[in-house]
Formats: sequence, structure tokens, C-alpha cells
Amino acid sequence: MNANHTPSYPEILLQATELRQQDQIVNVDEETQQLVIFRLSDNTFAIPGHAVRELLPVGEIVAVPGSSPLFLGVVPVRGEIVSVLDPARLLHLLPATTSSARNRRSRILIIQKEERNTGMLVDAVEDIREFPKSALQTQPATLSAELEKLCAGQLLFDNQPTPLLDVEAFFQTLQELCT
Amino acid sequence: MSGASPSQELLILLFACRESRLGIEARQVARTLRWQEGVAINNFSYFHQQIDWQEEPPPYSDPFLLFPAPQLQRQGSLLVDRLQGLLAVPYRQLRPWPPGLIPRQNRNPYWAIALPASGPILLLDLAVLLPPAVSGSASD
Repeated sequence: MNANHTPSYPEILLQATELRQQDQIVNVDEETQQLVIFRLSDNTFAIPGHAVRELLPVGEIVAVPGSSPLFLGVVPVRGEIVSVLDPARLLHLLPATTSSARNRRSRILIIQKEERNTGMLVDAVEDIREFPKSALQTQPATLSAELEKLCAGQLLFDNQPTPLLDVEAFFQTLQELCT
Repeated sequence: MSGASPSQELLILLFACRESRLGIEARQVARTLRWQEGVAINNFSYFHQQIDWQEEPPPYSDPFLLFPAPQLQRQGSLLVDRLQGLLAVPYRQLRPWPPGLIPRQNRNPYWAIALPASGPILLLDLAVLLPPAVSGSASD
């Protein structure tokens, strides 16, 4: 193909389809896991899909005076109260006195752990997708020591290194910080 | 048969802290007094000082003093902002306090969240917010 050839729109769309298919090609013999990919303070993270009970648009979060600064407040979810965590604070992505801002792409991930639901405010949900388990690097060199404690590894999403949160470690750390 | 009997309702005195609505069971409050600037009141506590408030003090744009009912055996009074009246909340609208929100080393002054149609109300226990009365000196 001529290097100066400007692709037509149908060609661009065809190429886009091929790229998407490449992304989705998974060896059927290989074990996969569903991951929810989200953004937090210009970083991309993943969390196992089985841990996420639902994704909610952000309505009013009721601030709780005197609560731990790791929490933004509480929200009612179908008649039950769910506390909403600011994971960017727990992951040291924000200065200690700053809380995550909310925008129209922000979402609350409801995480279910031992019969208890906790909300996590994220800047956006980018994708929910099956990844081959082999895509996960379990000992990446690029994670900071703080993140390494809270992550089960790292994978590539849109060519971006994307740490996979370890839900057990994440909530264990939260519990330690709140005691 | 439907509907809650009056005994299955909680009468809540509402006030505000910034954008949050808070409530104290009316039975815990003996009386309220609008605090006017320049009027000296002894032995009161600002609400934000009685919780683990870590930011700039919240504004008290329309401050009121809440005096505890004698049966609480508490001393002093609590200064709160923007008293918004009373609301009867059926028991079925009460939800337990979610764990983890308040650091465990602190006394948790909250005991429940009410979920009326008008939005969540954080319910406080005045007995936790005020110090015990010294023997023989009931509040105010």
C-alpha cells in the first residue's frame, strides 16, 4: 500500500473492526477472567468482574461528618445504605487532603465482600472484558511498593500498564487503616 | 391491617452540617435555644468538636443549642447548625450504621441512617456526643 495513501472512511472502519477483533481474540483453550477496567486520577486499573456487584452513576453522596477521610460518604442503593470509598486516597494517587472530584463519567462500583457491599468512586469505567489469565504479569517491575501490596499483578489495556487490584488485600488494608 | 402505630415511629430533630442532614431523637433533647451572637452560654460544645472533624470548622450560619434530656445524665449543651424541625420516621425506614466509616479508635456517635423519601438522615446519639453529668449536677 502506498505510504501516502489516505484511507477512506470504509477502510478506516474495516481496520477498526479488525483491531477490535484482535483485541477480543482469545484462545478458547486458555482460561480467562472477566475484568472491569476503570480510571482513577489518570491511571487505569482493573478489578475482577466477580467482585463487582453493580455499576452505578454517581448521584448525591451524603458526607458523614467525622468519618474516615478514606470514605466520601454514604448512598442509598435500593433501600440499603452503602458506604462509598475514595480508592484514589487509599492508593495514594491524591494528596492526603484532597478527595476525588466527580464528573459525568464517574461511577460507583459496588463491591461485594463477605455479604457486605462497599462503593468505590472511580473516574470512569473503560471496559468490561474477558482477559486470558496469561495476560497477567504477576510480578511486574513497574509497580510502586505501595501499589504492589494492593495488586495481584498487572496487564496491558490499550497498551497501558494496568494494575489488577487484589480485592482481598485492598479490603484488608482498608480495615487496618480504619482501626 | 396496614400502617405503623405511633410507637413504631421515631421522632427526629433535624439539623445540618454543611450539606448533610443529621438527626437526634427528640426524646433525647430537653429544649433548644437559638444562639444569638454576643449571648454568653457556659458549658457548650460545638458539634464538630465532638466528632473526629479533620477539616476547617464548618460554618454555623444559624446556630442552635440542644440541651440534653435529664434521663441521659449528660452535662452541657451541643451547638448545631440550622435546626430544621421535627420529622417522624417509621422504624422500617431505619437502616443500621454501615461498618468501617468511623475509625474504630473513636467513639461512634452515629447509630443509624434514616431513609425517608426526602433523602438520608444520619442519626446521632446525644448521649455519646456530650460528657456524663457530674454526680448531682444534671444538665443546665
